[in-house]
Amino acid sequence: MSLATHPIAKSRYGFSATRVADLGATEYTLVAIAADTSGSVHPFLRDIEGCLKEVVRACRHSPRADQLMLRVVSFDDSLDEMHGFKPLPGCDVDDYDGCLSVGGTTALIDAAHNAVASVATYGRDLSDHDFDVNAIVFVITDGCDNASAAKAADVAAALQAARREEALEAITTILVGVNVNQSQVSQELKRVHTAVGFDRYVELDRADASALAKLADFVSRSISAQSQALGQGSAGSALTF
Amino acid sequence: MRDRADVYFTMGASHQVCEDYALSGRGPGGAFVVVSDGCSSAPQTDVGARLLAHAAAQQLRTTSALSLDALIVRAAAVARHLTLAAGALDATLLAAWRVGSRVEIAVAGDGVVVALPRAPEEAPVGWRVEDEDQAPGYPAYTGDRFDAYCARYGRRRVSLSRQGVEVSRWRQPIRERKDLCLRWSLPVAAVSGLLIASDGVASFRRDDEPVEPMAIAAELTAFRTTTGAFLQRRARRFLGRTCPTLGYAHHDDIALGALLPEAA
Repeated sequence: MSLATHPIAKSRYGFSATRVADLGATEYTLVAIAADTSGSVHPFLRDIEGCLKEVVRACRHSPRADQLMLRVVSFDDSLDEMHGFKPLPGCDVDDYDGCLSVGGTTALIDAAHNAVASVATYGRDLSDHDFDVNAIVFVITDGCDNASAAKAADVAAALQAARREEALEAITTILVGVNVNQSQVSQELKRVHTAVGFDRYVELDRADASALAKLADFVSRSISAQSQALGQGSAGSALTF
Repeated sequence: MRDRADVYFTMGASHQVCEDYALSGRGPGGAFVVVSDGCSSAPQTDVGARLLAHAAAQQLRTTSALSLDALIVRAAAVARHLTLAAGALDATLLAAWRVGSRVEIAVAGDGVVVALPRAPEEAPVGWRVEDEDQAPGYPAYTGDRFDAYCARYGRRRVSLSRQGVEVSRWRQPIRERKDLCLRWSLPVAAVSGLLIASDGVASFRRDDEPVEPMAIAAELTAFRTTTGAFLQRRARRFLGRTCPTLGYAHHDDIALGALLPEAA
């Protein structure tokens, strides 16, 4: 399967996705994961990678793997698409070994905007071709935004537009704070959660292997719930972290 | 040949179990699709329709011909083994399969067939096969019930439509056993796609008025893409979103099969 690139209006970042003509299922859950790789992530970068691998491994074993499409982006002061939307059976766990590299500052809002806009844009394309679609977005960060061009209001507008348009049957957005052990970081991420209109904010005060394994379990269960809800007109039920 | 085939079936509003069925496969000459519609007033025809369809598919997987007599014998043997009720095999059978440069079509009972032209300037052609007394000639009548059926019914008619407009209609009565199955073929060079459908596509109503089945067929063949479950996507979208918007509702089960033969 080949991936085609798509621009996103009013953004320097686009995204790539499997060509619609190559897709064979009747419905898809689009999964976008944006993972922070700014300098402060360095001590647990490999654990973040391990978290991604575990999510992919779990989703590949899902009975709905053929109806899942995953896109993974890393971000520091810029966005780097590891891969665009592609069906889970085409995602090889080993491809995530060493996939992340630590960079500079944190373009958290740009990453969130790109993740939301990508599922909305591709979801519209799929819906126009008779596919039933819903989406779930995870933005994983350990700190506050300090490098974005976009504003929280831009992400909120993109999210509202996606919901109003109804091409996506449902969209769930989850902001994940990892290694959040300073109250001011926690407060700022909670403010971003509210300003953007993320459905949930999940906070981990550590970022060790055990905490990130728990995060991987939460992410994969949330993806599974969202996929199982497709066709019912609502989002998957909110799961306990 | 890289023919594409897909099927879809769903229950109608007035039914408690879906008595329609469809399946697709690949035979020596290319892909095939089979549709069967169980008689609502006969018992266990949900199972019977599936047996008939599978018996037809078994033939089409290994040969390039469809023998009604042979598949009824096989399906009846399984029905007896399962101690199904008499009449369980009272179901229609529609099939389309590729043989070389042609697509063969067989209709036993009633239903709709639509051929999509390969040339963009040409219009889709539709055949509606029905019985004037609403008593379709099921393949199962090839046995000892044939004479009784012919004595009372067998007044089959066929109407031909172009771009949804009926252009001709003729009677094709059932007088001999071989008449139970209407057969014709179309050249792959001229046909890019073929839809076979149970008569459920004629059960759509809007504001209590019937909706022309060829208009329904036109919606169901407006494929956006042709990979994988292309018919399922189109049918789900049409039934799930377009019909509620247009106020369309169907009371009968629907079974569909679509065959997109690759150009030779």
